[in-house]
Amino acid sequence: MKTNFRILLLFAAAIFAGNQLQAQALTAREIVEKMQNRDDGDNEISDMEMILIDKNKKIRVRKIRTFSKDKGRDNRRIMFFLTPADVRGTGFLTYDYDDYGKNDDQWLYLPALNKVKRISAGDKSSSFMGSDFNYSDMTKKNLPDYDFTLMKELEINGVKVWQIQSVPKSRKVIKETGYKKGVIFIRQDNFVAIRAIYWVARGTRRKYMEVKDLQLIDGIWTVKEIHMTTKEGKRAVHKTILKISNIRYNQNLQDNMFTTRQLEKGL
Amino acid sequence: MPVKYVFLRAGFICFAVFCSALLWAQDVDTTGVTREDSLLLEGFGEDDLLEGFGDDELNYKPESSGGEKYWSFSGDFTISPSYNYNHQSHRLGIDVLPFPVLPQVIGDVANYRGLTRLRLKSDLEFELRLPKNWKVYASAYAFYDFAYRLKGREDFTSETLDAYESEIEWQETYIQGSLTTNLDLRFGRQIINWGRADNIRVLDVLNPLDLREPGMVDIEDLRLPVTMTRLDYLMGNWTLMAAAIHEIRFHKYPVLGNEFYPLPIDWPEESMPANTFKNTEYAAALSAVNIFPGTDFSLHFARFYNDAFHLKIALPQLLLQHARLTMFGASIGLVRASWLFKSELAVFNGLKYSLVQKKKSRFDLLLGLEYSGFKNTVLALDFANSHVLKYDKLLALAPDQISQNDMQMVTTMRKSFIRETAHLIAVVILQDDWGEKGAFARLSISYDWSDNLEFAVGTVQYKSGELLLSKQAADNDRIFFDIKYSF
Repeated sequence: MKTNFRILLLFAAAIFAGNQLQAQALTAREIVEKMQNRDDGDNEISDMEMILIDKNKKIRVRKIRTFSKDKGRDNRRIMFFLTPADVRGTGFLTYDYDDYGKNDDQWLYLPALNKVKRISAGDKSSSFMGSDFNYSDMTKKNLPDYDFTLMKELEINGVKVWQIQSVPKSRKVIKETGYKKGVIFIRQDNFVAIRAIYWVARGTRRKYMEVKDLQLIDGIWTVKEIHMTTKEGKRAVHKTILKISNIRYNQNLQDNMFTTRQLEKGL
Repeated sequence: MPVKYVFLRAGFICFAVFCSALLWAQDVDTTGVTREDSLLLEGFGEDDLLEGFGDDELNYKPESSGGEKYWSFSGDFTISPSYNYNHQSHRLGIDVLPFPVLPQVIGDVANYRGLTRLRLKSDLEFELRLPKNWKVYASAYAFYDFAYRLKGREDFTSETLDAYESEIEWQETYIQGSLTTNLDLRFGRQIINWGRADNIRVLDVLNPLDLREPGMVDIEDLRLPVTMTRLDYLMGNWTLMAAAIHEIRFHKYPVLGNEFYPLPIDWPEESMPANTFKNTEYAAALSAVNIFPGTDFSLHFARFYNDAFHLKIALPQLLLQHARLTMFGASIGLVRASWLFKSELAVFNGLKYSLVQKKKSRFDLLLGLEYSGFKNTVLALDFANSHVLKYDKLLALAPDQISQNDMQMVTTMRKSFIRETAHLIAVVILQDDWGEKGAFARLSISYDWSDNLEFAVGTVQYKSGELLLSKQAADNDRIFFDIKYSF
């Protein structure tokens, strides 16, 4: 199963650890692997509200409807912008491949051009729609590209977590993802990453990811609200809040839904 | 070599160097961190790490939102002044003609130097969602330009005032839905934009363009919608499209007395084919995505009227006519890492020209490259060539002014800043080699003050060339501003 969009940040997992003692014996890499290979549901429809807040507390809000379907081990996802008015009708189609050696396929529909454009997925370090999330945050990580270290165990909000450090093995990965280091806090009871810190490749900024609302929906651990804050020292310079609502799994989504023709048709 | 020619070429080169320098500078910093460096950053204490998750001052109070509506109404208001700082001649058209014309034929015309536009425009959109995923969509715009009233309407020709002072237009207006699981229908005024390039048209032949103010028309208003019936049949990765175009519309050109109009006399009468069954235009396309990894492909056919006119000389009468053309074409788009390669080709049969009686055929080829490996930046270079088969040298003369090989080159840079609230767009379009037939460059920067309010400022620079239209446009360099409120 593939990571889907409502998670956005890779390390939100959903596999129950039935046996705590067994879980504690896992290595850092094994823990992260379990997160990535989680069951995240299929044939999903959801609404996303993306709230962007800058350092002057100016707020921008984007509303997006997302459809997602697994295709074998790959994932197909189509998104339509509902608001604001100037981007309404814009659509984004992604074929996300499980094979790390294969680039994602992406198409964009711009109402102003009346045209579906194929776009390259090469620059994953760019901001996703002006948010604090990068495009690299939206896809699975290639785990062999990283060194993982289990730093310690601790409690956050009364829940035991592992604190794991991830360091890219090459400058190429740093450049591609936009991060030079990460620290992830993973719940030991359900393997969901509830917090993460990322060191931005350029400059001294860090990004803080925090899951604010996690619910079990149809047996699938589902992130309903997630915050990503970019900080310079201790000062927040920008923040993105993602709220996911109207989540429905196991809908009867046809393959026709995930086509460039559907991008043109819109919702 | 004319000074402006040198200026444009130098500007083009400087622009390319600037882009390269900007992007190179941005790039090197990213690679300045090694794995060893990052390991040195481990010295954070646990408390330091967790402190970052504390409440910060950037909070959001959600507004209550109503339930889902089955209709939507949206739009915008835009006020857009522009200022021509280079206008020289107030005798429009006289300078560009190869023969003398008495001043009294046209007399003095408006001075376009200074304020050339103060346009208040509104775009409106309405969408109604019907059962079974059918929907009705309607859009329109209206504008009024106060510049003519401020400068004195009596200075402008009636043709200019009719075309530029105010306008109300129905834009895309259609009903759309699925007839079966795989068959979609869309009927009404609509736009079909074929091809893969953004700024050069090879396959994009089904909708005429608004060419009244080159470089100044909003991209969403550039293509003129036409009434058609469109069917799409989906077969896995393949889509077969067929369309019957019922409404005949042609390009909108500058009119007599306007700053872009190249002649001291009005256009001859235009022969407009009636919107009859016999004159219906047809189009079909077969397209596929991922026929090979990262590769999209399409085949095209169209039987249509040429949106550009030719002059029918039947002395003493002159008529503007539009030839019925047949087009066969193909396109391919190929992605490799951060590179997007684009190509379009088309063969046109049935072309008519003013000075040659015999119909001609033309072969168009476009090659384009787009790079998006730099952060928040897209660079594109498109090159196209039109080759007239069985070329006749008479075509080189006005009004046709067609070479056997007419080239066009477009360089584009798009970059966003400040979390995609600011956007820089630079476009340079060169006609024939380095702009011997004319050129223009447009640079604009826009800023989203909020979700509803956007400001934009920019400049358009025109370079004179051999084409009459480009000669007339040469002294129309301007700066422009836009303030747009969306709702």
